Amino acid sequence: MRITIALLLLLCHCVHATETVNDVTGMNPIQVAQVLAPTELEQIVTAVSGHAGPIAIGGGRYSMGGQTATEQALQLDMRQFNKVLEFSAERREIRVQAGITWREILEYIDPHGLSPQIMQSYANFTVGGALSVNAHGRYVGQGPLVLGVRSLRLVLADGQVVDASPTHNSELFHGAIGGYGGLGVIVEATLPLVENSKLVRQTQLMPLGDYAQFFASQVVDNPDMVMHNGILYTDDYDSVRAVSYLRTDAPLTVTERLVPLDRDYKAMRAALAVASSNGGAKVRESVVDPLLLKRPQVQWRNHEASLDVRELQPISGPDYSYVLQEYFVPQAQLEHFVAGMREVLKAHKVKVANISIRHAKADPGTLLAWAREDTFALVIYYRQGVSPGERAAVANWTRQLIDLAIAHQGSYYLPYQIHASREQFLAAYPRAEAFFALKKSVDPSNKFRNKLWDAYYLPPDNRANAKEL
Amino acid sequence: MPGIIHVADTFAAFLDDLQTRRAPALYQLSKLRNGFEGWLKIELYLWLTERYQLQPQTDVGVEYKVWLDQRRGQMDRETKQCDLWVRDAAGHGYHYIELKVPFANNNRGKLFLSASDDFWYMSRLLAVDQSAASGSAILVGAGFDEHDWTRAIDEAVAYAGNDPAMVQLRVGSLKLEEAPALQWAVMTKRYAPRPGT
Repeated sequence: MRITIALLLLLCHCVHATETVNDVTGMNPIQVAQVLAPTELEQIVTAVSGHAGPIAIGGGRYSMGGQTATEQALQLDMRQFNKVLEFSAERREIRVQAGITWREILEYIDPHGLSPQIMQSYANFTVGGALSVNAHGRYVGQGPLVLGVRSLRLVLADGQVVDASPTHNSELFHGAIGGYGGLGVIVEATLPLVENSKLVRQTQLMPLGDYAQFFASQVVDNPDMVMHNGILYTDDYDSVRAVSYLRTDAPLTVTERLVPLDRDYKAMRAALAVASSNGGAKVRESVVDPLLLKRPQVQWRNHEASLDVRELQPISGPDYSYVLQEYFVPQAQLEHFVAGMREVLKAHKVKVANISIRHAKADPGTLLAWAREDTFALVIYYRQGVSPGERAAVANWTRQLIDLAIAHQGSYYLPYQIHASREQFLAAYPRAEAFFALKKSVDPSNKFRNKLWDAYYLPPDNRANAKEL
Repeated sequence: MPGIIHVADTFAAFLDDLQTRRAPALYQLSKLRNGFEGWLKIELYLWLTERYQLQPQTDVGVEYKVWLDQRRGQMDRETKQCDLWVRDAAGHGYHYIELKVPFANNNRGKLFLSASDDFWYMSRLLAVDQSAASGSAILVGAGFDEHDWTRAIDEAVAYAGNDPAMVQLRVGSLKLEEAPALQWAVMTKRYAPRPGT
């Protein structure tokens, strides 16, 4: 048996012994025992059932706090496990291996006039990664990705391959989506598709105090509204530019069907650099954005869906990194939460490059749901230093923002730096204990680990010695 | 998961319901003995959506191009258009269904041959790549000699050459007042679930 396992591991395209892995921020180097890049399901099954130590799962590496690795783990690098397994234009459905990126899906389905029902704003992420964090995008009337998944296939800790959907093995389905690789390896997903329509972009500047009403009256029930986000300007945190994408029959102004892979992002990067400089927020509001968003734009939905994270790069340098955080608050709490957030960010002189407001429908039941009701999301993109002192300062104001979100019956997002205390985590994710109970039953030896679960999951034999973060 | 379990049982339930709701229509069909395949397809499609709360184009749909397993030496085409598809309630994919309505006229031998071909193709779906739970040919006729009808069905099943353990066959008839009975048969090839399910 051991010889078989060794042979199968050698068959994988890449096996690296003792390797340091990192994420897009460059701030989380982790030495793993081995990186394995499977191309076949059997390799994953063999690795999972045969490996005695911890196993971590990596997709596109866009999480920002070590959610894809832990020390001395076997890291499954899923990016070569990326085939389209089944596609039906009639049924508007695609079944894919989990390492495929959304960009690859877009390239596959675009000729058929179809588009993913839900995906996040950038297309570089893998489907498995997006499912593991229960990502969201800007799609109106949608929300967490769980709303756009028909079924999953998982490899559990004992090597068992199981299918799960909202009605079949539903606890696993609702645990694995948004479960950060804690229950097993997501190896396949079946995703619904929708029509790829032409979209016209419209923008409107308004006081923050008017935004929730605007959203309720103009956006959420508008049948032509496909995507929407707000840009919260951070000079005074009191104005929002609503950016809407509506179905149209107007002629295209952008004729490319997908964003070209070699697009030049200099202008976008310059805008971000300006925005995160001292006084830059005002310049962005009054000069940069009006210029960038001035012309009416008509494009394909898939074009807007195929944005590339490269427009934000370079994300990190030797002494800095651009980092994301995200907070969720019930619709009625938006204005009040922003007032508190403003105080925290200003008090700590946080170099905010962008705050985007999104909306999500309530999660239908994932155990680690971040949208327990219809929710506004505030995505903060900021620049920070990487010295121990600067990291500690970020941890400090991050915990303040988490407390603020919890006080507003909200939550915070888990794919980013792990600064929350265990108490904060449990307050923001009240069904975490149910998730932990499920993990204990399907992964009794705590095989599936990463920095997130090392921080918050207490295996039964470690509970007595647990220390609060 | 919304869907059906067994194609023949589902079709039998559909006919029972049809007899209750649309008896005059069935009478007309039996008398006409002609060309009601399109009507039957849409009637069955609508009944499936209502009875099982299936979402159109997500759980059930009409007209579907199925891919055929090219490993068979006699395979002469890559795809075949089938009439209906419906989701499997146990999560094993989809049931693909071809409807055939041979009517009792001079061409009935040719039409039986065609029905026989249909089941042969539906038995050779490229199962894994399109999540096939089963492939079926459903025949509905009127006015056939009972012996001829049964023999033709048996021959169609034998011609398809499947492992008997994977074949389900159900035949029946629908008694109508003052009109010949509607005869029906459902031939189903079940496909093995994908490993791990």
